[in-house]
Amino acid sequence: MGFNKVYVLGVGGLPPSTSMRELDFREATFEAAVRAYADAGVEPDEVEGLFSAEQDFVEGISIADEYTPDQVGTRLKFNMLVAGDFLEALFHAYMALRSGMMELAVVESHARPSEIENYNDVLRSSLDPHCLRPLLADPYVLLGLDARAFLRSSGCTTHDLSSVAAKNSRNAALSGGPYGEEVTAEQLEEDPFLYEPLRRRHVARFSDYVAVVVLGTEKWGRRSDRAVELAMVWSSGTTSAAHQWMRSWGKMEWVGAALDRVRSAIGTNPIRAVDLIEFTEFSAHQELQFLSAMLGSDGEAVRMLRAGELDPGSTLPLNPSGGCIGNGNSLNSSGARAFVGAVRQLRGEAGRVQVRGARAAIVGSLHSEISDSGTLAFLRTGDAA
Amino acid sequence: MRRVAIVGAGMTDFRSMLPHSSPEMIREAVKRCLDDVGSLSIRYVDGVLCASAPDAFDGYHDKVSIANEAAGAIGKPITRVFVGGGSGVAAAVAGWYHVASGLFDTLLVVAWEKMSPPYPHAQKLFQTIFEPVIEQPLGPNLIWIFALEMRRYMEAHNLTKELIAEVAVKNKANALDHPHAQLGARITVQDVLNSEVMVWPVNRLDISPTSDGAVAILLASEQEARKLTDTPVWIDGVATCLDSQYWTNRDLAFPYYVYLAAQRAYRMAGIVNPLKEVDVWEPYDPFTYKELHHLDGLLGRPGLAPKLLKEGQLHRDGDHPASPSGGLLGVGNPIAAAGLMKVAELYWQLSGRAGKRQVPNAYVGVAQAWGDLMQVGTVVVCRR
Amino acid sequence: MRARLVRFAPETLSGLDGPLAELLSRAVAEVGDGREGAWTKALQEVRGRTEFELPAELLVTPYLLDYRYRRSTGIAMTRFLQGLREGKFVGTRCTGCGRVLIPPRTFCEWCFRRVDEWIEHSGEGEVATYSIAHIGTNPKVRLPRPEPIAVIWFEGTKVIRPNSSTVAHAAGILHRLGEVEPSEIEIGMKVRPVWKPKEERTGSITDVLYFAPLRG
Ligand SMILES: [Zn+2]
Repeated sequence: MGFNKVYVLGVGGLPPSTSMRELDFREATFEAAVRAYADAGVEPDEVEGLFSAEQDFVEGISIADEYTPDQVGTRLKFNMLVAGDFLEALFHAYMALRSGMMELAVVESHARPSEIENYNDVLRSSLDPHCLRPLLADPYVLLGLDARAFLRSSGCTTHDLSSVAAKNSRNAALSGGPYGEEVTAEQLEEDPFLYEPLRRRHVARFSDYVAVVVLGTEKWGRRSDRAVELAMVWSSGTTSAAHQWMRSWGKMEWVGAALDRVRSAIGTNPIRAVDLIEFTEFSAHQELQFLSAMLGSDGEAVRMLRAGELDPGSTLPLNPSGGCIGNGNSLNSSGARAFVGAVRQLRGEAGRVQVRGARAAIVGSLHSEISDSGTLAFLRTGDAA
Repeated sequence: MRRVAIVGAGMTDFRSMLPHSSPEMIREAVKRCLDDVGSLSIRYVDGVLCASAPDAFDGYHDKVSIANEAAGAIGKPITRVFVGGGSGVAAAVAGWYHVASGLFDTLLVVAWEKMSPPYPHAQKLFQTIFEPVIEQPLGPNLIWIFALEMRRYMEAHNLTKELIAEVAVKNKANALDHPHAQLGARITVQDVLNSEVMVWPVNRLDISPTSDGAVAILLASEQEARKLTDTPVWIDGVATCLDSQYWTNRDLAFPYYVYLAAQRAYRMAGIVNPLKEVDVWEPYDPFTYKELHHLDGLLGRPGLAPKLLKEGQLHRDGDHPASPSGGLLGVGNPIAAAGLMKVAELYWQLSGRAGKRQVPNAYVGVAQAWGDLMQVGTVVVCRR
Repeated sequence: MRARLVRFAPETLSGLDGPLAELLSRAVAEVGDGREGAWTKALQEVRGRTEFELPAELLVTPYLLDYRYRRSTGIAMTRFLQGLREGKFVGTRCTGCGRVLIPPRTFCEWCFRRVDEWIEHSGEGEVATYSIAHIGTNPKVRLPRPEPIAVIWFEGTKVIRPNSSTVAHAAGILHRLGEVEPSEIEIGMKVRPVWKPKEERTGSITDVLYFAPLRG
């Protein structure tokens, strides 16, 4: 039985920023959608469905999908809200297009942490109310617990975490990310601890973001020489984030299962096939954890970091966009920013952070800052595909 | 397109204040579903798709984050979809494309709702579904918008409250035969009219209750379905349709988005004349008038459903049985779970497992849910 | 039943109207959570009907969800709210479909195009549909005075288009009705906005007190 191939036809977003206050969320999303349609060269009328990634308490509105269709041009069309990161909504759109139920769809996500006065309270209420909420005033301390366990098992040091954060800050300084800065690991080592062993700039600060991505089957993909193939998306869960006491500290267990599926879909180990990786590291240790899980080796990840092999222009650029540390934590839209960055790379439109000759990329996103669940997407251009 | 079947279903009791926690409800529904497929091992299941309506009810942000262990999703994909009241049927739609995409051979679809924790009442939370700048300051509640829509619907077709009340009489009586029902009862039209006025023209007995509960169904590809059961029920049409957020800008008399969703699902399933071809209807009935309003949309004929009701054709022994399960008015309304219960009912009806509720000669069924701000229609068409 | 009682947070009570807050405070003082009996009853009812062995009693963990937002109103809604402060309804008009858009937006969802023609409307219109609320957000508490609510459609904005088939569209908003007995309200009744005194307006939808029948 034949299943459709899926292509990224166009992307549109507003640059991540510390505040998008001049537009309301509808107006900002409309701007992103207009750009995405122009980029894809399709008419909004032709789109058959919308997949959006929103969370109620991030929006401050219960049933967040009520307020999605008008500004992306999908009134009276198919709609599905996926309550998770952008890549999870992308996963759903990918399946719907593969199945043949539709040929052209948009995926939308936006988040405005600048409009939430007490986001940490929101995140805290994803925890068990009986055993965890009364104990943890700030849920981010869980990142500290996880980082400590990772350092212990991997042999990394806090200096390595500073190297990750410095790399991403420098990359973002080139890409225009709101937290980009020319900074060294040594300078970051001066930062005070927030959640030991995590220092202040080891943890991503917040930014507002919105993006709209246009996906189509080969019928549409054939029409465009800029289309990027979305070869596989796979999501994987482990223990529930609410029940943190059960998780494997220091590891990203979800990556293994997702990687297996991507490997069997593309017929090779994706890590050997890609030219760059974008990942939503909400904290510096998560980037190394992710890479370790992808490589199946803690030691190799650290070695590559220390040897500068993750820098732009080297063996395996990791977060050439600057990641969440350089661009900000845009909550459930963080994966969208990473994804748009990877698409621009594969089209050779990444400007000052362009990875030369990039033809395949992996995008990874965590379900949330404190969750050991996530999603992988594998992208490649026409000639790699 | 790859064909997708429902091969099993299970549910908890629907109750106000079920003593179970949400993971316990999920676990119970999943276990009953797997037991229904010959005590299938959870290891056989490729992934999980969840649905649960506003996070506020459970009191959790990101509430899929409680389900992984209970649904057996460790190391598997588990995502949550959510379109307000339409979530339960949307879950079946999303579950369909999981399997139809070729990426999953078996998939658990789980929906749950825990509405009893909010105190003093879940209605307070419904205020947060309204537009935050120009509607929330007016202090609206959910029943307001139903009352506005019901009033408009009554005006458009000159309907009486007496006729609309018959939906409650019918569905609560149907629910007497449902083993998990919360509010099965033999009542009269006069009982409905005599119950307290909540938001005129809506009386207490026009409204489904707040409930806790969970439902699970197992989906399978054609090849797997043939191995797992002799009585697969095929999902042959799926659709959702979302109208504009500017609900005060359109006439509420006809749910055009439900009509469009139904038309798309019929086209996919090859249904030309739904009134003739569909044997069992499970339209969404959180309020009495909504069953009629939605059937109007599903049939594409404004004002037809009230006529069918008057003629007794929507009863279980009528020509067009609607909500033979007992619906939300009778079985209960744990939002997302209630919608998926309607899909499960199609499975039970079309595979001949509906017991005392069985509609004779049931080959084709339609389940539908509705939600957001009177805005989204979700539809599945099933076949034996 | 040894359940801990759930109390209203002071912020919750202070956010309510005086009489309602008083009523709820009293209810809590008199009957506590008011639901221990119901929980116990529910526990008995499902005993033996579930795979779980149920405990003899249930405990309750109280907590308050308290999230605070400061929402940007953007371009269109800011001008709308400013208009309310000045006693008028500000909308936009789409040159594609010709519709007047209230609440205003900077794009038209029918035509998916940018919209930047601004218009002002007196706010006179008709009742598109209405209802009488006897309860607020707690169905167990009856409002001392039932409250008429309505969707108001603004005069001269109604359109019926083939792409919306049987559905009429118009510029319109949700609001309350006043200066009218519930029994006198009808669909199609002509109404006008009744504004707060100018000095009390803040740029909120509540700058309009209610809509009243347009008499004479
Ligand atoms: Zn227009």
